Amino acid sequence: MIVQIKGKPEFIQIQWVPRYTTMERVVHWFHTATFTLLAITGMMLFFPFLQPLAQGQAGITFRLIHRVAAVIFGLVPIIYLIIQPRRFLMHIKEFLPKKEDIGWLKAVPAYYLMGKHEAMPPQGRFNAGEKLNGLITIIAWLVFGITGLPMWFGKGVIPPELFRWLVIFHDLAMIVSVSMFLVHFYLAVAHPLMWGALVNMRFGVTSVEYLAEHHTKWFYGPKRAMEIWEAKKRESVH
Amino acid sequence: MAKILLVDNDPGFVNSARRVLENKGYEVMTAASGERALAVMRKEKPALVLLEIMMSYVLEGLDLLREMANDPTLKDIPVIVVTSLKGTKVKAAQPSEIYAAVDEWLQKPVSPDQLLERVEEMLKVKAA
Repeated sequence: MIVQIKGKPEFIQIQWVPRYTTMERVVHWFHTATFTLLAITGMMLFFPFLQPLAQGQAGITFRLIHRVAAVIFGLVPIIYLIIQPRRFLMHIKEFLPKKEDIGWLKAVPAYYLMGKHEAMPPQGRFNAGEKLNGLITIIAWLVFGITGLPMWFGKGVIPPELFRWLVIFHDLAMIVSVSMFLVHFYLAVAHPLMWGALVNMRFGVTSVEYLAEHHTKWFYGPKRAMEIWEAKKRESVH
Repeated sequence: MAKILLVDNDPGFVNSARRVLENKGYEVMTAASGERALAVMRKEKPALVLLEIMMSYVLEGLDLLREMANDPTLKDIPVIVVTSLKGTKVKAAQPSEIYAAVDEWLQKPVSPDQLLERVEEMLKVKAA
């Protein structure tokens, strides 16, 4: 992307576009770190074959780590909401599903498995998969909070039947969010098409080339992005 | 005093820049999108446009510049880009399909003094 200053022999070359704010990245990495700790220590208690590792002093330590990580995990989005309420709410709005996201879902096999770029409709700042990940993360955060706090403080107070349901929902939220985390981790770190994803979240910026390829709608705007996609589809037919 | 159009979708920047310019006596109009900016420009004929490139989409400001260049009634309005996009100054550039020409380039964050200085300079050039 080149911008010329009129009447001067100089140009401005733009190679990197800010995609994530510092706050967004801090929240992402705190969430990742605490989620990883919670998943590891939680699974020690969840899977019967790992439970021997969580006996005695080790069990006490794992439970302590789980609770400390849970407090940070729970507080991070609340701190974000307090410091930047407008940005936080904008995020929630961005993650809400739209009709056009169906196009992304339909294109997943052809794009991610066969590398057919023309199959993927233009995506915004977040593609539909990133939006789904964000939405599941928010729902799981709520379920973990609603079920985890009574599990922590309500043992012996809450009726056993209700406690059992809390544990089941806590476990279900863990299964869904860990599965989503593994897919997200693979796409961000290892998938050959997503070469810029990790750089985006590490440094907060995205290269112009990556945006033009993966977030066409956010880069070129809806109208031009559709024209580019239509041209790509026509080209692939010939 | 001169009419200035501020095109940016960041309410924080718009409010502070508007205050700085209005305190100096400029008449400030605002637009949060390229489309709205075109409508305001055609009606109000501002003396100067302050433009953020990245708005609801990354190239929205450059699309606006292209529209201005194609409109004989708007093509001579000077434009100062005030943007959060980070650019590198180079003496020569590779040909690019994404290209625009502007009168001045300011990188955010911009101090009130720096903004006023460039605005006054640009309006003087235009008057001459």
